[in-house]
Amino acid sequence: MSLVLNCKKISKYFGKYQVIKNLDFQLFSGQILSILGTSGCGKTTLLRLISGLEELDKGEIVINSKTMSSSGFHSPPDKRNIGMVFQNYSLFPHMNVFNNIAFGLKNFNKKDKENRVKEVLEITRLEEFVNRYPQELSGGQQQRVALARTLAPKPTIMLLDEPFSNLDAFTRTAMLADLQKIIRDSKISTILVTHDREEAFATSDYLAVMVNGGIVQFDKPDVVVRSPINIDVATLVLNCGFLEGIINNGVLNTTIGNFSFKTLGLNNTEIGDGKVDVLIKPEDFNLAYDPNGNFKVISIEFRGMYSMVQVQSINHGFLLKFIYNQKEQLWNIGSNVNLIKSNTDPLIVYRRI
Amino acid sequence: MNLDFSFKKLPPTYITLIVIFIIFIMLLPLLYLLMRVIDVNPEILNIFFSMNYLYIIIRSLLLMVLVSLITLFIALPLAWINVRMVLPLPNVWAVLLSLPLVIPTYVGAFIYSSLLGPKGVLQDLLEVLFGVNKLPDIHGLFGATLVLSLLSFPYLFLILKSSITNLDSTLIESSRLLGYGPTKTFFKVSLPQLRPSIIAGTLFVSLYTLSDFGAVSLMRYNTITWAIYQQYQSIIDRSLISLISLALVFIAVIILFVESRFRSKSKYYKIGTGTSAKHKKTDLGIWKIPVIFLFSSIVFVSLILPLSVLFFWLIRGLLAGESLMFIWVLIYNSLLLSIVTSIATVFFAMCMAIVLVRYNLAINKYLEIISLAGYVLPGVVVAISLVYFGINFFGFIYQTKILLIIACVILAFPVALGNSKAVLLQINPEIEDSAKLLVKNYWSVIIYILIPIMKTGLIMSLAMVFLLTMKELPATLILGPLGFETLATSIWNSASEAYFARAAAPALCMIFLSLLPLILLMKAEGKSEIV
Repeated sequence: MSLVLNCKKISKYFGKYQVIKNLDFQLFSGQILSILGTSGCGKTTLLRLISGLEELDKGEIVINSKTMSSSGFHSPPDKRNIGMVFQNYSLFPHMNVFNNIAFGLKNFNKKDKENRVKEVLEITRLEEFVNRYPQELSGGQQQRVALARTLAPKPTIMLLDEPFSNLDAFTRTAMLADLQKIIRDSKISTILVTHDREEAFATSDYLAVMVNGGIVQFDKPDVVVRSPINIDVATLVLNCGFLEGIINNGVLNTTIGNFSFKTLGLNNTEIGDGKVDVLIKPEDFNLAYDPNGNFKVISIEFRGMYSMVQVQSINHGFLLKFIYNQKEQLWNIGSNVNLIKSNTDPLIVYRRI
Repeated sequence: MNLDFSFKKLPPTYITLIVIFIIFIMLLPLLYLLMRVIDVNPEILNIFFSMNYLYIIIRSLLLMVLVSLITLFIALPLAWINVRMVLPLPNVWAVLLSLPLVIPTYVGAFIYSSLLGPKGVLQDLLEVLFGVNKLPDIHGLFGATLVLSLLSFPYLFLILKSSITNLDSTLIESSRLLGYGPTKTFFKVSLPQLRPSIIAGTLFVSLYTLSDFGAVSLMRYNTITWAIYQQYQSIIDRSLISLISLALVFIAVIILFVESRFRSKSKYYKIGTGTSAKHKKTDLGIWKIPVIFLFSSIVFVSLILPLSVLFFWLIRGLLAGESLMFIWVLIYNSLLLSIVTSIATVFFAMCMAIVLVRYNLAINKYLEIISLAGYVLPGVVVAISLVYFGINFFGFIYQTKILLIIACVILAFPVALGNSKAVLLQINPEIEDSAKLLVKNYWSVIIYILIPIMKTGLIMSLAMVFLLTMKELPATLILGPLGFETLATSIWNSASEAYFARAAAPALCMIFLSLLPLILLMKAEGKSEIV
């Protein structure tokens, strides 16, 4: 696996506001990287910097061992061979599907052009729509055309900006599987940007969690989910809440009991005594009726095989969703409940900064 | 006015009556032309088909094509640079480049002929400096083209500016990412997207030029409108006028037809939802200075120069003892005419728009075509036809302001209608229904929901009609009651006899009176861009 993209300590300012802060990461050939972050965290700007649509203020972007952006140099987007699928697909409304896809194949002769378009039409299963205009296609089909148009010139890197945000839930699920297969088959290194954790997990080899213009955690998706490095990452990748806890002589005290705990990157002894935030995941707990409990049942949704129960922490305000599949329940909406630890795993705690 | 927009089969009676009235007055000019043409005898036909009239038509077409092309070449680069390039004070430039719109063409014509014509200011200056005592005459095609181009490019500029602003910039970015440089991207992606508004804008300028009376008459360039006016004043037999007018209508209809063909074939509307990224402006680099120079020179020749010349004549006139007393009457008359016309036109347009937008009637298509009458008929023709009906059928309003206002309504109606339709389309009937469920009193729905939503659009309509009517000349000349003078007619009367100093004060008044609605219009447009 060779290094395709190397972002070295890149920064970008919009006026005085720093949108990208000293960001550092690498992408290897054939990899799919998802960047997960809330809106406004700078993920779209990062894609625009890589593609050359925005100029860099500090740092360096190297693509296939050629410097493309640095503080004094900017290679224009048309010289980078990077493909990008925009959130709104941005298909050319005055061209039919064939011409949209063939648009990027400007140095191909007629025969090669036709062959290549045919190839990507096959990959994206669009053969029957070749003569249609974009506005005559459904959202999912438009997206596949955008994908085909981007794939056709065989870009070094393909960038996808919130590719599913304009699709309905049903099409989204179908496209998620499709997209993954298309990317794998074409073997093009890909960066996908999203605010939806399921999309990020489903498609990627690596997951980068972006907060406030910086990458906070970069790892395989399952590692990130198992050990989110801080509260921001945990909030983004998990259905979770945080309780206040106090560590006293190596024991974690909380309002719902005393537990064993672990910290990420530190020994338990290193964290010392004092206040911490305790990560509460529904998977680790069961609900129990308790008139003096610290949680209140907000809603119960019957989902056929199970019920989805949402509870709210009375002291901290956060919400947790529990899957509940026992037949008997002693509580109703409005009842106070408590959380009972259902396994022996230590709870993850974060030191207060 | 009926503002209850829930879907029903037929509009309420009072709306129906108003629409019938609108259609009636819109049809009058067409009816007149047809009636006259039936009277045509072979002799008249011979005159009409003589080379003389053929030349007049060719001259009109030549002027139209020249002005359309020149305005396009001025307006497109200016609008593109203004929206997409880094330029100091872009909004100030946009306002300065739109302002020539308030200078009527006959004012522009007298300014340029007093400036560049024989015995004009430039020649005086050159005579003192270099002893030049003769300049080439600017009257004719050159003068008319110059004046109409410099004063009508703002229409195209505004239309193009708004469509360039709304251009989906990710299309341009996609093209860049697919390997095309900025120039190729402009021609392959941006220009095709702008084509509908280029066509619509050029069409507007063509029809504006075709129906212009002021500039061609003062520049003594013999076109169809000028010929019609001369015929009207000289001959009793009106069938020749009708033939010439029909020729003009015929040309206009062909242009409209070609435009609609282009529009229905094209597939240019925006697809997909979601936000299109904000425009990233390109740095001009070393081109900044030449571009600013270009912008300044256009603002200079189309705005600063005309205004300076007007002030020059004003001062010269005042020094020579011109009185300003009469001007108050002119201002009063002009304001009266413009305000009454604006309110009447917007009211009528709203009624028509309600029928077109909210009721799915079989005749809607025809109502829409008939409403375009004012677009294809020049003021001269509308006025002459109303004179005929005034004399023969409606003696009680002939020689009153009512007939004049009706003419102005016909001429401004298409503009107001387009706007009112857009306003109504913005109001989703569901908004209204949900409001009705929340409030019991329907008047509260009107006051708190509908009027706030429509306010901007209504102000825009009023301002547009005001601007058009303020400048309106031929209808006022022909239909104004005896002794009724407006700023427009006073300027034309003085300027056509080369009393430039006397024309300066009313011209300046008219420009300043037009500024307020123009500013309202640009503000309202800025607001609707945000929405």
